[in-house]
Amino acid sequence: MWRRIAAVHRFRLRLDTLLSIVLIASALPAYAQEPTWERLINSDREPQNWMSYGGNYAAHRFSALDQINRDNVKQLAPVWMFHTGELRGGLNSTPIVVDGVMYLMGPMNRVFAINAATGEKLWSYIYKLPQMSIPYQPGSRGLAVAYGRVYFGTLDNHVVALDAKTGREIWDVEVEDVRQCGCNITSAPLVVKDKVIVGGTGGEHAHRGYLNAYDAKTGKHVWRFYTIPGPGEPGFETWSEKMWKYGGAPTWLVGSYDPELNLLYWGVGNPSSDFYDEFRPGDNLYSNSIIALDPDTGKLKWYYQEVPHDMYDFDSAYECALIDYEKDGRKQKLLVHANKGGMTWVLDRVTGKYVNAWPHVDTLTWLKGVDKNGRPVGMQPVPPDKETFVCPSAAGGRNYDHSAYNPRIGWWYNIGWEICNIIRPQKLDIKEGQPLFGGGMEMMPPKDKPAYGHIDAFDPLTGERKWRYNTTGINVASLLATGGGLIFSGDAMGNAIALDARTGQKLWSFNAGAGMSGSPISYSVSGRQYIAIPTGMGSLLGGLVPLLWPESAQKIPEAASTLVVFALPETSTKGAAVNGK
Amino acid sequence: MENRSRPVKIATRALAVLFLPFALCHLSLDISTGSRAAQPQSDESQIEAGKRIYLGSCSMTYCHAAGAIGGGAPKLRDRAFTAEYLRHLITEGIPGTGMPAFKNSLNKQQIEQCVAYIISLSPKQGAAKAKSEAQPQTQTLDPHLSGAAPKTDPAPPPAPERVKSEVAINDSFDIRGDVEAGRTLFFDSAEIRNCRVCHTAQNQGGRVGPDLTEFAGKPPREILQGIVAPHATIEERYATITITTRAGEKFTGVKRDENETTIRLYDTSTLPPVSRAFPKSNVAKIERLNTSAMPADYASKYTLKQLLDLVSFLKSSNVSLKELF
Repeated sequence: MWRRIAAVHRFRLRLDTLLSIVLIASALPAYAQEPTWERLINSDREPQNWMSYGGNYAAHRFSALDQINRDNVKQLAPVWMFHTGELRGGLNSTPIVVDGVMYLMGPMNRVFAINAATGEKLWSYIYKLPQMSIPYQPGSRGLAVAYGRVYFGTLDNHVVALDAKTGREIWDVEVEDVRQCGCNITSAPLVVKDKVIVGGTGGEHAHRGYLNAYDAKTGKHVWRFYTIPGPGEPGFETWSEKMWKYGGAPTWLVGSYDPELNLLYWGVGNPSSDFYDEFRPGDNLYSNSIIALDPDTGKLKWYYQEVPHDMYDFDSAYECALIDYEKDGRKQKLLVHANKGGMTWVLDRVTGKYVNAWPHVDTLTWLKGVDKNGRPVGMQPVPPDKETFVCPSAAGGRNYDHSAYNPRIGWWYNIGWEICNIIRPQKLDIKEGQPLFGGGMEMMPPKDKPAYGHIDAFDPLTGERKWRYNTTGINVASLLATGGGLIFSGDAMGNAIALDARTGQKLWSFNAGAGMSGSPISYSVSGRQYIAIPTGMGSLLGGLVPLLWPESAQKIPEAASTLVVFALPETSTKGAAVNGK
Repeated sequence: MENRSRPVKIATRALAVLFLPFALCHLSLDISTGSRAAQPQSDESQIEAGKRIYLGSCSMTYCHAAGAIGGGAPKLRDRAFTAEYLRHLITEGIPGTGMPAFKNSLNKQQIEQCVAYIISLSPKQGAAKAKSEAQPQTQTLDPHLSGAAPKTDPAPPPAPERVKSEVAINDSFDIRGDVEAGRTLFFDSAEIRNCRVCHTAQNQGGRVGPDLTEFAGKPPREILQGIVAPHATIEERYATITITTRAGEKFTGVKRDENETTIRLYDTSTLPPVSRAFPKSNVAKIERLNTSAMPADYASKYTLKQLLDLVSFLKSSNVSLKELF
């Protein structure tokens, strides 16, 4: 659209306008409109870049680069580091790399542009947060880059656009008063065509969840989809009159997009109050659901609810991996989704119909199985006046430590945590924007074994496990799959690791000296492949380690907020081809 | 009008805006001057029958409300309606509005009873009405809209000034605003364009427009005026400006702040407002406008009761409707 406007204006040039255009053009960066939408949705063609939160719009977290591979990964060494200068919140984010420039969201909404080859800081933008109590956490999971702009959400619930070249603020719009809604933005936006789509937190507050779309150029609010239907809308009957305005169902992570179907997929979080459920009889749509929306209008196309009437805080907020699955000549457009409750649901992403469901953790108490439509059966009750032992815990069978998919191998890699909890529901007064957890939970190991964590490779349709790697404690960092046949991640004790994607064998590790809860990425500049791993725990989940592994308490790394970037020694990369570059 | 004092002008504007939807409703009406409608009977039984019809058909809160005090639609009591005018309106409705044509659901006698009841709600107008029935009369007309022949000497429009000056709300029909309902409206999270996106009240909300916490000390009528006629008084701090960039783009809103290199504007052309930052080197022109950045459609967006609720919230007391006039 912007180009069309520019085209029209080109025919109206007068000398004075011509002069001003020349002046303006000289002030704009040559790549002011990059990356374009065409580049973003075809990002698999540019493995040298990492242009969106999930690596591509299918949330594969896969880099086709293969310079670093199973044979040489042992030589991997740090080449530069970048400190965000703020320890509160660690470094939870996914860096973005476009054409040799890295864009990094640090904690407390500190944004940086960095020379991706050298680590040199190009600019910084420190968002001015008001003096206020920040709900959830001071960390942030990322930003989006498109059309020469950097887009991000803030801890005080604004959406901001910066000039990608200079870091200059362009626009800033408030989503809702953070003090009123008890919600904010801790994740990256997703740019879809001319819109910036932004989810928010709020599942533990008296808040009505939503997803918002803004015009990428102007910041104008375009649409809002409430994840709790209002009066007169289908699904309203699944809520009580008392709770539909305050039932949570937030959109606190990042969705996926299928350009062929023009469908936007987003995972929706838990209903509030999390554990005390007597306020909200019914299935509580669209909490704990995958919603498929028309990104142009925000209209619902289909939904699939994984955990009806949740009582355990089992969000469906995590990434939607869009996998084109082919076996025995049969092609299926699947959506593979790990639920916080330790089950992975597989859906037909065209229709939203249930295809399969299988556990990705070993210890589940909350359900006995699923029926033919994938609806859980034998769900464990959580009586309001009792303690209930539930596995997995409210921290999840995993959390926002995202999965990865290697399309060349056809396996989906996921993390599992074997942790349980005792839930103690508590009735609270409901007041808009105020905390509404509805009780407490005490973390503990499963009844018959110690707590443990693992990384697994699965057939994404059947759930057949290909291998397992037992992690040190729990793995809170996302997975990265590469064309070099590797899986990268990092644990809470500060160990960055590389596994063989076909066997799960650990091939490399590096003690980064800080726990990890961000998302590794890979990119290349001038023919050299890099692996960037955020370090610095920050996440609330770091507190699980001393609780569950007290013997490790003394060894827990100190706070940090540092990106560590690795590469092979220059001598070994000279002349070596990097796939796609 | 030119000789009126500023407060009177403002009040007039406020009420004009308040009753704008009603005034607009009349634009497409052609009230024939020559037709002699049957004189509505004014006896008690006729009025009582009309009241029963009114309660069943017209008194919903979204419409004219019980007692005809106005809800989503205009109030009908203490007005200067002619019987003929009412008869036409009730029979034909007002196309393009929520006012239906009752000719399909009420017979002529019932419509006459309704007319009688509504006329009875305007006792001060009674004598005039009786006279007006005797003489052919033209009310507000718009030949371009109605397709009717132009009429001369149109009677004044439903005269907001007259409504203002002659309003006398019967105690039994007085209503009070509700502080809590006003608070809900002000902060309504289901409404993306609620008041708080621009204003602060009770130390919570946006900074685009004036902090309304201070409004508690103002008379209710002045607060109402600020809501429905925002252009009447503009604080300099919140004056509307237009920034024209060197590329020729124009942005209108309220200045947020500025430093040596950048000026920031709350662009109020869209709500919620968008803060835009302009490098001063890219700014060609900044102009101050004599209008408020606040939308001027709240008189039609909110019902009278909702406006009363909002005023009550800002006053922190349940304001009576009478205090608005």
